[in-house]
Amino acid sequence: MERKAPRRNATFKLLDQILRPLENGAAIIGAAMMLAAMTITTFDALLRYTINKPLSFNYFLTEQYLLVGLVSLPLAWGFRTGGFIRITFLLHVIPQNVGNLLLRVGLLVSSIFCADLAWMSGKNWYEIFSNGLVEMDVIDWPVHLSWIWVPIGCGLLSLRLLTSVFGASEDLIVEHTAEEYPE
Amino acid sequence: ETIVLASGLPPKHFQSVQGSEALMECVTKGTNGEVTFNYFPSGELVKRDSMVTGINQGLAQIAVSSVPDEVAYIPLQGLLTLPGLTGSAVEATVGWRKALDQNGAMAEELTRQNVMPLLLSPLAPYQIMANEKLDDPSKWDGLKIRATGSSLSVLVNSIGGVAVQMPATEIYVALQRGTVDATILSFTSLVGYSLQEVLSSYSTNASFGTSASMWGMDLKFFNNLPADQQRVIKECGRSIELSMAALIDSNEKKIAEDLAAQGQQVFELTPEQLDMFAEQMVSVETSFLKRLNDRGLPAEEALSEYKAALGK
Amino acid sequence: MVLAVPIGFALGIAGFVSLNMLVPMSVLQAIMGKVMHETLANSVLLTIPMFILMAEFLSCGGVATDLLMACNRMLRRVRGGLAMACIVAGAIHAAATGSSTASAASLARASFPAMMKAGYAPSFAVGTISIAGTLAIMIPPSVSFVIYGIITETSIGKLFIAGIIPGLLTALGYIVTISITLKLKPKLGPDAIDEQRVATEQRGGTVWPMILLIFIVLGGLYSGVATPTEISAIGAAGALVLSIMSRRMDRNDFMGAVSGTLRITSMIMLIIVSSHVVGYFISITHITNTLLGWIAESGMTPTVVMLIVVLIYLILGMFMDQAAVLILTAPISTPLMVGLGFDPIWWGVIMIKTTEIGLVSPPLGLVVFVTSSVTRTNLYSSFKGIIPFLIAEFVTLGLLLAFPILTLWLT
Ligand code: NA
Ligand code: NA
Repeated sequence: MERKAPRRNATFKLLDQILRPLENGAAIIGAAMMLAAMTITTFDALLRYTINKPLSFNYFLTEQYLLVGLVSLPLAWGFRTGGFIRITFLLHVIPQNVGNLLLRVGLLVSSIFCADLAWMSGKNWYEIFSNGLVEMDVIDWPVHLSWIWVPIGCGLLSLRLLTSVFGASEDLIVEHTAEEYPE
Repeated sequence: ETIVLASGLPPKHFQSVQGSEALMECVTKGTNGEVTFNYFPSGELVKRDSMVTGINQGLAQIAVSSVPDEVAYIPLQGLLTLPGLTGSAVEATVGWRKALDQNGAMAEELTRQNVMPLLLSPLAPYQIMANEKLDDPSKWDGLKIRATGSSLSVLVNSIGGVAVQMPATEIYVALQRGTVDATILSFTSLVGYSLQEVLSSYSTNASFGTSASMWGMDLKFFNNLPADQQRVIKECGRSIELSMAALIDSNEKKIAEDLAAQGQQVFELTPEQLDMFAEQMVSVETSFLKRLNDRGLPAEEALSEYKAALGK
Repeated sequence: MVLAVPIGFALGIAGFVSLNMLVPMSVLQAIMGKVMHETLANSVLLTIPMFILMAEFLSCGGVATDLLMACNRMLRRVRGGLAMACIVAGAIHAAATGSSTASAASLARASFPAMMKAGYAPSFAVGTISIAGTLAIMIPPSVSFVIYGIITETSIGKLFIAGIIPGLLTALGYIVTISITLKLKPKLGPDAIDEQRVATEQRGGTVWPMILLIFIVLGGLYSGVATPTEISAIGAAGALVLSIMSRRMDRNDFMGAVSGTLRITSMIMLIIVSSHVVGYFISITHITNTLLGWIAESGMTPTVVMLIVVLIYLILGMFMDQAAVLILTAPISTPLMVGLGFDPIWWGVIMIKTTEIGLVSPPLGLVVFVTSSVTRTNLYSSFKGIIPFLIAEFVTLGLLLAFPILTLWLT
């Protein structure tokens, strides 16, 4: 990174250090799920076409497990390394310290929103898990493993947003560029 | 009292018009306007696979379930979709209702989920629909046949076809381009998806499983209603489910006749052909039962309840 | 508030706050608990990460850029040749995919760097790419037509065929727009000479891998090897194999492509999840029913009613997710139009056209969000770049409204 290292306080550093490995790990699993979805779906179609032997478990596996995981798990890592789009042009016309305060409040509210998504979907997951729900496809699938990715992904994102509330002012608006790859 | 009725079906779908709308009208009229409805079709509030959670999380007091999509929560009702059990929607509706009224395993499953089975709507038995006359199990060999869910996929494979799953939105293109060769559906769904444009040959008297919908009501909510309102709601459900089933059967017949009139091939299987298919489908029921039994569910009990109610 | 919060959250939070005024907290929390899983566990969504991944694999090998450059070479005597090439690429892409977000994201990866190199203004480049992406829902196959067909029980086959002429007309409109815009504001694009120079410099690139991939994807789709969803995965796998075989991809490129795809996908999906929270709010208010019901009973002439409904769609498109608009309103508006004597196939094409406009109209223009984030261009200037194309959209919409034969000729 070329730009000058911003001043970051201790709370931020501590939270950041704890979160990073978790976020990276989740993103790596998400990446593996995406590549698995690509590979299995390709083989499913090609085997069906050539030798009439589709991978009939693929449809359910991809829809209920891989898709949910590949989107949810990288959320926090994606926010840290890429930022999320927002409408920033009006920020240039208000005083900088007011703008920064607004940004911090915005991140805090977003963090609470994600925490709610995580908490409520986590409750659903727990309900499904403790009832041992099974989806009957060509084979039996445990439903809770389809749900688990949502609370994990949203939970991590919520914590990352909370962490950036304490981040340096420079980090609030700069469009991050990718600092590292998850693999 | 205002009741939220949530359904995953589009508002102009026949089950919305003849089911949800008729139900609301009947109940409001029967209670002299004491019970009114706030209606959410199209999965706006509760999707086709979420009746149980929709009711128990308070999103709706009445929700519509597509039984094969919700077998995670109500696995025993999934027995309705097995092949070879029924010959018409009326037969299936009467049998299902009778089985539930016995308060055995099938009813207990719903009670435990806090669901009152308000209105039942099994579809007509599914037919094989393709571009050639698939009237013999041997003609299914190696054909790619679109099927949904567990029992239909097992059925296709056991007859020698290759079961292929895909979302409803992609069947049309898949049949048009030959990604799949055939599908198992009822005539009503066939025209709902415009599939008669890309298919040309249909059986009329087979029983390759079916699908079913259930209008479930929040049981605790129902029990807290005044007795006269409970009675009206129950009676409305039972009378509407019968008229809807009769309508489904006559509609199936009408569509098949229309297709024949347009020069498409509509055929009956001979008793010998039906027997050959039945022979191949025995394993479907056995494997479905085994899977439920292995999870400790009273599957055999439930199936014999249903079969007894059907008089089989 | 809108200023400070990323769009993915802003929509969701706005939906949450509005819902809170209408329903008990328990109902709102039930929605929060299910909305994300319900949105993501949908096999059709696989096209979004897969087509983006395909574009990422192709662009890190430089393969897609080569194709654009080849198109550009053919159009090198034309001002704006590269931008027009992007529209053509969008139309080709549209024949393979039914999802505009996926198409826009992959076009952005493929053509934005080349357009920057050639000297286009970023806003104009993003505008061109976004608008090229929207072609995916008008040119068959299209997820939107299928949804419309199922909801209104109209023929999906006829809808697909009906979309062909409007789709090509739309693409032509975009090309004319590029030509006129660059004539009026030459600064937005490179000089013809510059563009020719870029085209010449790039002569060394090979085009065959991209042609081969287009062949695999379109061939696979039209010969029935795979469904539209599956073909996206095959396209991504094919792009990976081609990039490795042409020795243009190393380990870092691969990881860059994978992480880039994940980042964009999770962001797009978060926006879609959030817009579904807003969708619940709109459902619960019954506002669309009320509005359309009121118009139906107002006693105005059929043409006036139709134009008002089109206007409502354009306004809804500004604020709502397009799939949601379709699902919520088609069941009401289509019978209304048919009752007034309009053709349901034609009306379907008109609805999809307004949907297409909604995808790029501010403030909620999903396709522009996607292109702007893939290219890391400021959202404000991205929407600015759309303006000339929006004018073209309205002209095309006017033509389709005035001459139903354009839509119904082939059906
Ligand atoms: Na398309
Ligand atoms: Na919009």
